[in-house]
Amino acid sequence: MEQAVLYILSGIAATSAVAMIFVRQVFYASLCLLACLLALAGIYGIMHAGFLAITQVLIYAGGVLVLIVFAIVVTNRIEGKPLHVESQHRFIGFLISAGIAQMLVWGYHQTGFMISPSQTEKEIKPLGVALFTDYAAPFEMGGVLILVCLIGAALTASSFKKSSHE
Amino acid sequence: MSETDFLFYLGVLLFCCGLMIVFTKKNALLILMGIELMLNAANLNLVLFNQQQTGMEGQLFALFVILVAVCEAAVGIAIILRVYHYYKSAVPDQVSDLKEHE
Repeated sequence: MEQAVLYILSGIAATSAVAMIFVRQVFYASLCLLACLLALAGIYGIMHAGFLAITQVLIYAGGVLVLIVFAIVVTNRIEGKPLHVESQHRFIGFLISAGIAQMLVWGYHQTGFMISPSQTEKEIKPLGVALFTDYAAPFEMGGVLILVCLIGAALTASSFKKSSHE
Repeated sequence: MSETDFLFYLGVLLFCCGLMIVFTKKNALLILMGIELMLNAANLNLVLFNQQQTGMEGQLFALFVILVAVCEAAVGIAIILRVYHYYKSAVPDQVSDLKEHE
């Protein structure tokens, strides 16, 4: 049962990721990205990473996607028509990504991981304990980073110099 | 094909889709979305390889990756909006002058 759900979610994620390449409007691409992120959150949930799944839904699907859709709406208003996106260098792009895929798969088989997904429960509690003991310093630095990013993004997006685009 | 192999190939597919979007699309927002896709592929691998360990390091790393990705998205979108206001264009290739054009 769990395995079937895993395969279905993987199918959704893979399909929407491939669809993002071929879709022509930015808004549809963002919807595909949303489907992909939600499917990945489900996969995390099945893989006993519950906290990560919730974080994915809250931050990615709730935060980043809303930000992207907002940006699409605002830029649509400037251009006055739906954004059609052209592609360029399709063949070279395909060659490069196929080559990197080849390399990744080759490296994976070289190392010979003998992973059997252990069904040890990875609960939320040890994650929280680790976050506040061993990894307290990166956690705090992450908080500072988010604060700096918020201020920087707000300052960058606001038009503080009126004469620059007139 | 075991479950782990399957999830690894899913990560490879997501990463390469993101890479191809970054290479081929002529829109800054879509390029940003491609980068998000690549970061998610990395996250999937971190969680996958954390499965057979006793520690929680993989999930912690994935959390920090999400954190940095959010910051990157916020700043990137702010810059894209600025560029839109100034150049009235979304194509990164057309944004090529450093000085104000006359």
